[in-house]
Amino acid sequence: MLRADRLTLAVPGRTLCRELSLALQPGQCWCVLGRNGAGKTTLLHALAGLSSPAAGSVCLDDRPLDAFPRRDLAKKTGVLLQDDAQPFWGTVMEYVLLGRYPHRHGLARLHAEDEAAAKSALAAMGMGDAISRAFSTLSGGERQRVRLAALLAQSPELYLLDEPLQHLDLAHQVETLNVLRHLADQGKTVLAVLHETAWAGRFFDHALLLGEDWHEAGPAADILGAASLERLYRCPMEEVTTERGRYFIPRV
Amino acid sequence: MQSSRLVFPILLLVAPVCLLAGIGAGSAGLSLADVGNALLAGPSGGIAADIVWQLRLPRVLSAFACGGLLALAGVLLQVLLRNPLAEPYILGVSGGASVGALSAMALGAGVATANLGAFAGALASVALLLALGLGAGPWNAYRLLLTGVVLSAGYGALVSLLLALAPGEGLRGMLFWLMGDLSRAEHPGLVFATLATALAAASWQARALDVLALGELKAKSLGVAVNPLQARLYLLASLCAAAAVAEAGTIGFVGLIVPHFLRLLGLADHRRLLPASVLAGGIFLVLADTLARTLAAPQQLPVGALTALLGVPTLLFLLSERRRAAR
Repeated sequence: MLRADRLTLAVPGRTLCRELSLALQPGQCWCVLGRNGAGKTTLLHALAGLSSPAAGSVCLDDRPLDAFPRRDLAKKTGVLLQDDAQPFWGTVMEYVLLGRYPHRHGLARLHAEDEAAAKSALAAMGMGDAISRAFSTLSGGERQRVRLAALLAQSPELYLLDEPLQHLDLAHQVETLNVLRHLADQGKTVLAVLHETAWAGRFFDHALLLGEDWHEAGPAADILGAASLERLYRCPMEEVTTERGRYFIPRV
Repeated sequence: MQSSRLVFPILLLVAPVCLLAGIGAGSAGLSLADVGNALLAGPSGGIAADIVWQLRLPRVLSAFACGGLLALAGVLLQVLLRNPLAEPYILGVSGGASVGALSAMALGAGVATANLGAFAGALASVALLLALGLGAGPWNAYRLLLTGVVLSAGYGALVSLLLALAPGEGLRGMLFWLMGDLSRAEHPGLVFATLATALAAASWQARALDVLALGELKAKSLGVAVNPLQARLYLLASLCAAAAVAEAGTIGFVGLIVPHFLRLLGLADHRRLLPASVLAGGIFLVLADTLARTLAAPQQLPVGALTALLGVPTLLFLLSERRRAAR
């Protein structure tokens, strides 16, 4: 699905990661872990075609990202950005319908299909009752769920999410992770940048650890462990195993 | 918000009433019946018809179209520059136009030449800003904004010099031009055609504007080719401002206040915000100009002063109402 080949990422004055190669397949659910400033967001933007890598290439279905017309790319790849740059003045429904932009043409009226996609996305994020509320009156966590709903309404093949769990309470974190897991089970491809390390072993089947001058990518069973996370975060970690899965928590 | 759906139909009803009132009001007072008769009688139907067809109608129509152009330019620039304080003149279009018009006036030119000078000055300033603000690099709203603000300061200095050097008898005309003057408005057809073209072109991009309003990165991720869109919007907004400023001088506040007013009423969808802004901007400027003609009649007041006097309290009231509602 998505293949990154010997990617080198840089921000002014700093090289973030060197020669990173990665292949995401349909049905996989990836988490990206790393310390602040490790380059997680820069990597996500490069994988989404929002910025160009300093070196290397990213291909979607064996075609370089910059060979795609923007709209075609947006039909296949959906991105949850960390923040909106600007306030939004309309309703929750209007916000979620923005996610349908790549599927709509010119000034054509709203299709029943667009409205249905937006409504079911809001219902999936537990915001079905809020469709006519003003977006600006929502709390931080409610906004995050509406932003997630807009991404679901976009219904791409590949989901790239930058900190999808930010501002969410525990119950909504679990709900959101279940939604992501469900997308992967349906054959979509999911990659999420996370700080909630505890969930990494429980909900994700693949992991990418972005260290300062190293990285490691592969199946979660091989990559994730108390030792590798300790090396990544430079913080003592321990693993708690239950019948439902593995959880990583700091040993403090 | 359901109330936002009512905004457009209400504006559509208010606009003709406002135009008729603008035609009727003036130092030679005409009743609504007089106006109706004169309009029906055609351009050659006596004194009342002369007043309506020669004087009032062109001026009121010009005011409406200029108000619409300024509000439209305001909406576009606020999205483009990601700055709610952007207004049609922020990038120096009016400064360039002022230098052009005042130079022409200082050389003793008539109304038509001064208007042409304003339009030429506005276009020259757009070209200069594009060359300086963009250079070879990618589109950068922040650099464009700063360059525009700096250029405006330069135009301000040139305007001061022109005013200081101008002969005494021309000074009053220049000052009125700088504060907006619709008594010179002579081409309602031309500004209306510009307005219709610009509104159609902007509405065609309405969906992309919705997305761009959330930020460039977000727009890119949803499939908008951001840089070409920004270039188109900048040229479109500049054309609107240039046409308005050439017709009516620099009229402040319409482009800033009208889009805000409508957004505060809950209009976010640009398919509705763009035409609603055009109507509201037109209504607002017709009202302001009618007051400018009648408040101290037979003396005429600068319409730019009235747009600010009407606009400031309205926006402050809306802001405080909104804060109360949010609490």
